[in-house]
Amino acid sequence: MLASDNVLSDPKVWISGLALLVSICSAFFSWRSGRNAARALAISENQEKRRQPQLGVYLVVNGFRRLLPKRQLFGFLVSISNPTDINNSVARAELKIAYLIENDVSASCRIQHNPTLGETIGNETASSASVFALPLRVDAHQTVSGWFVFSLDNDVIGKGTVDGHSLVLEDTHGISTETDPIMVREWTDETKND
Amino acid sequence: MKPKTIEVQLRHEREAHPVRIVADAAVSTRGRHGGRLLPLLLLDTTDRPDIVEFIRVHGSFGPGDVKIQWGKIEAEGHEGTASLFLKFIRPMELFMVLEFNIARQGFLVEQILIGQGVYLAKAEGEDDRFIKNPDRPKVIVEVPDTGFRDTWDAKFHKHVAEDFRTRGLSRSESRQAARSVIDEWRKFSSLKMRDIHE
Repeated sequence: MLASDNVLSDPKVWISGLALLVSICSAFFSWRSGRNAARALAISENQEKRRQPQLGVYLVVNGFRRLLPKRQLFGFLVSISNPTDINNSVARAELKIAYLIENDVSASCRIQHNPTLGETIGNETASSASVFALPLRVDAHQTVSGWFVFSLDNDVIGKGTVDGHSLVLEDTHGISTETDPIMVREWTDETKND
Repeated sequence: MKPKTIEVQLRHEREAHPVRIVADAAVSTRGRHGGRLLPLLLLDTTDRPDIVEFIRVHGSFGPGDVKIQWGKIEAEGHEGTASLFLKFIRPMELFMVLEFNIARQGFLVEQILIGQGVYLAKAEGEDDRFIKNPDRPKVIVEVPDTGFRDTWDAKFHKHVAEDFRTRGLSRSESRQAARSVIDEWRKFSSLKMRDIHE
């Protein structure tokens, strides 16, 4: 009898081989289920992340400023997106003006969005402008566009030097979103000047 | 209860130092803040032009928003003090700390807690007093109950009693004197102007 026949006919050998095969399969299945669990956790985390309130503010064009005798009017055309899975709304919109006072000490004040100013600014072209009214509903995965308008009395800044403008939006959950500093252009009605 | 330690984000180093209180007064105005008697603090703004600006700007706006927190500065030289941390959000962003020596200025804290508010104004000099210019610009800060009262009561009694001890009273006498003087102060601080319709 050959030695190899002896090895295969020995039940100890093939039972050991079978046990090794089963353990390899078992290791493979546990690795695969572990990988699936990790993927499921990642998906759950992403879903949870999408349920955290968050608003994206995009400036469609730079801000505009119109100088009036005792005050300045500011207008910003923005689009607000809600990339999350939950409905949200903008509860407060403010213009934050950073400025320098004596000895280059920086200060910043906040002005509230005033939708009634839309009529003040209004002319033939602006009559079609959509000025946001607050609170502003922004449903899940939706984007809304419109104007935020602000009025700043000249006395507020006084002799301070304006350093920058930015928009601060606060949602229903009290979470604030602030834009990067915004360039503001002068806005004049040349037809009225003529 | 173990005190909680928090770190405060500052915009400038000057905000880390408590604003010195030059003088104080008490103001009660009919029809404002329920006619309650509120302390008025004249602040040394020499190093804080932003506070001067804040008081000026506030005159052009309506009510603003502020976050308040009672606590104590954890650093050397701040033993026996209580601090009021004020983080203004609107109309101007500003942070300031008002520090009170509990034995000497604790009555101001007591009055703030009872009146649930405090007036802040700029001191025009070291010898300035409110009566010299009662119409000066001032800002009223609402200080609602944040659960500080229990902690404060124990601290206030302890420090006032210790102060009496250093003045020569016995242990029991100092406790009794502290209780008595605090009770009397509370009666005084609870005074309020009647409303117009009352």
